[in-house]
Parts: sequence; C-alpha cells; structure tokens
Amino acid sequence: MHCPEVRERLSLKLDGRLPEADERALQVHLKDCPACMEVWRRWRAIDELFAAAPTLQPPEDLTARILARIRPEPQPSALGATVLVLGFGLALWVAALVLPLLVTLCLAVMAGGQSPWLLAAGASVGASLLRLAAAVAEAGRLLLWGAVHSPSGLVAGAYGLVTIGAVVAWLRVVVFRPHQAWG
Amino acid sequence: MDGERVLVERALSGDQDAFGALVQAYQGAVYNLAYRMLGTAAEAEEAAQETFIRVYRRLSTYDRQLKLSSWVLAIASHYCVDRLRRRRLTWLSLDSVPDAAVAVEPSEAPEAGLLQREKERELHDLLGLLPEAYRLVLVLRYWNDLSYEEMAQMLDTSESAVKSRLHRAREMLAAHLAPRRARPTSERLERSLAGHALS
Repeated sequence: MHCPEVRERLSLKLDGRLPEADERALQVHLKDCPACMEVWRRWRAIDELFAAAPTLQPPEDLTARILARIRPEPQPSALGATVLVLGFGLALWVAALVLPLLVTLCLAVMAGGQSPWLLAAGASVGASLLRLAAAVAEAGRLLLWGAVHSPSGLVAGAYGLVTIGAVVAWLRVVVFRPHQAWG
Repeated sequence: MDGERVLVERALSGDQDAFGALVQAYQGAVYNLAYRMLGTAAEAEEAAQETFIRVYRRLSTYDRQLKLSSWVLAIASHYCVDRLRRRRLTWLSLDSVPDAAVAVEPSEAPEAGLLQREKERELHDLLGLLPEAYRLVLVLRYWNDLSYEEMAQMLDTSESAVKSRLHRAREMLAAHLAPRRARPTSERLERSLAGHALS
C-alpha cells in the first residue's frame, strides 16, 4: 500500500469501517512511513478532540416551550359550520326585521308630513327595501341549496327555511300593510 | 419502534401529550446537532423549537419507511444549514460568537472549567472552518452517532458521498490543526488564567 492509498483509508479507519486486510497493510505502512504517521497522528488528535466533547443537555423547559408554541390547527368542524350558519341566519334576521321597522317608521313620519318630495323619497326607500328583500330571499334560497349539498345541511336548510319565512312575513306584514293603510 | 408509531398516530390526531413524548425523545439529538452546527446555546434552542414546530406541521407527510429520528434530524439539519447560509450573507461569522456560548459544566472547578472552555473553543473554531455540508457530516458522526447508511438516507445522498465528505472534512481540519497545536494547551491555559485574574 502506498501513501495516497493509505491516506484515502484513514477516515474509514477512524470510523471502524476499514476491512481487516486493509487494516494490516495500513499498519505496516504507517510503521515505515514517518510522513503518513504524522498525518495519522493529526487525524487521531481531531478524532479524540471531537469524541471527548460532551453531549449537551437541552434546557429543562424546552419541551414545554415547544408545546406552548404549538397550537392545534383550526379544524373545520360540524360545530364551526353550525356557528357560521347561526351567525349568518342571525344577520339575515336583523336585516329582515330591524331594518324594515326603522324604514316603516321613517315612511310613517314622511306620510305624516304630507310633503310630495318626502313621499317620493319614501317610495324610493320602499323600492330599495324590496330589492333588499329579494336579496335576502336569494340568500335563503342559497342556504336551502346548501342544505342539500353540505354536511351540515340540516342546520343550514332549517335556517334557510326560517329566513325565507321571515322575509315573506316581513313583506306581508311590514311592507304591504302600510301602503294599504296610507292608501 | 411500535410505541413510536403509536405516538406519531396519536400526535396526528391532535394528542399534544403524544407529541410532547416525541419531543422528549429527540430534543437531545436535535439540540446537540444545532449547538454544534450554530455554535451558541440560544441559537441551538431556537433551532430546536423551530425544528419541532416543523415536525408537528409536517407530521402528516412523514414517510413511515424512514426512521423517525432520521426524519427529525433531516429537518433540523436543513434548518441549521439555512441559518448558516443566511448568517454568511449577513457577514456574521462564528468568530463573533461570545465566549459565554461555549459549553462548560457550571459545577466544574475554575481551572478544569477553563481547560474545558479552551477545548470547546478549539472545537468550535475548527468546526467554524468547515463549509456547512462538511460540518454537518462530522456533527452527525460524532454527536448524533449516525452510521454512513443513516447519514446517506438522511441527507438523501449515497454512502460514498458521505464517506467522501467525512474524509474531506477531516483532511481540512488536519491541515489547520498543526499550526494550532504548535501552541501548547498549557500555555493557552496560562494565558486564559492570567486573563481571568485580570478581569
């Protein structure tokens, strides 16, 4: 074995992966070659320095700190979907009941004033409300569609039906009755 | 191994205690890898935290054919190599690491502590000489005690590439060791003690 071959094998020797035949040849060469022996001494010094370096203990609270930084990913759940539908339904209820009441009050005040300009404005607001009612009804229809196609469809469908019912009631009781009364 | 798989499955179903047990099992290996790669306790801790957060987020992609330890250490290695590359871009070298970063047991006597500190500093400086890929194989070999096969699997390379990197890393260190060793440790220790007495 010659010097380049010996030096190629030093790393394997340090890792205990040198075949036995190579090991013997390497030992023979090192005994007779001061240059390779010097290289081997340096390699062994590095190996000893590294092997003697302590393994460190991580901080005691490392696990706790890691777990504190990990929050469960928000998973879409049936409960979450229900809350979403409930919130949306509630919003529609507000739109269907509170707004018309306010506008009806406004119309009544305008009708009391007997001003043609105010009456025209009131009629305009009424038309807007009808468009709003149509939009709310459309949202209800979509919820009904969701009832058929989504996992939490039962809840969504129930709210769709209730919302449509609310809109119909609003149209019948709040929007049309005042016109009849004022007519 | 089966217990480990059970822990993985439980962690995947959201059991934080199971994930905590996995962290406990591998935090030592990850922390030591990060410490030897990055050089400071603070960075090692940050690296360990980031590694396990990535492990948690990617657990569903874990290939059961791999050893979990290899997979976790691969994530830690990528993180550390990225950190070192970014550090190089910002011109911050290992030389700027404060002395306090060197690991010494607090219970040791002052002289023994200084000697240990001196050895750690030497080790630290030597590791700092190496490119990331060479530093990584040495760290995996000495502090994580991985075989060539495990390193090859972890680094997604061949065994011969691992052997070659280890050989090259040692060769580079040996080239630097001779001038360093010309100054005996006792002399360096005396200088450290003198510096300690003055401070």
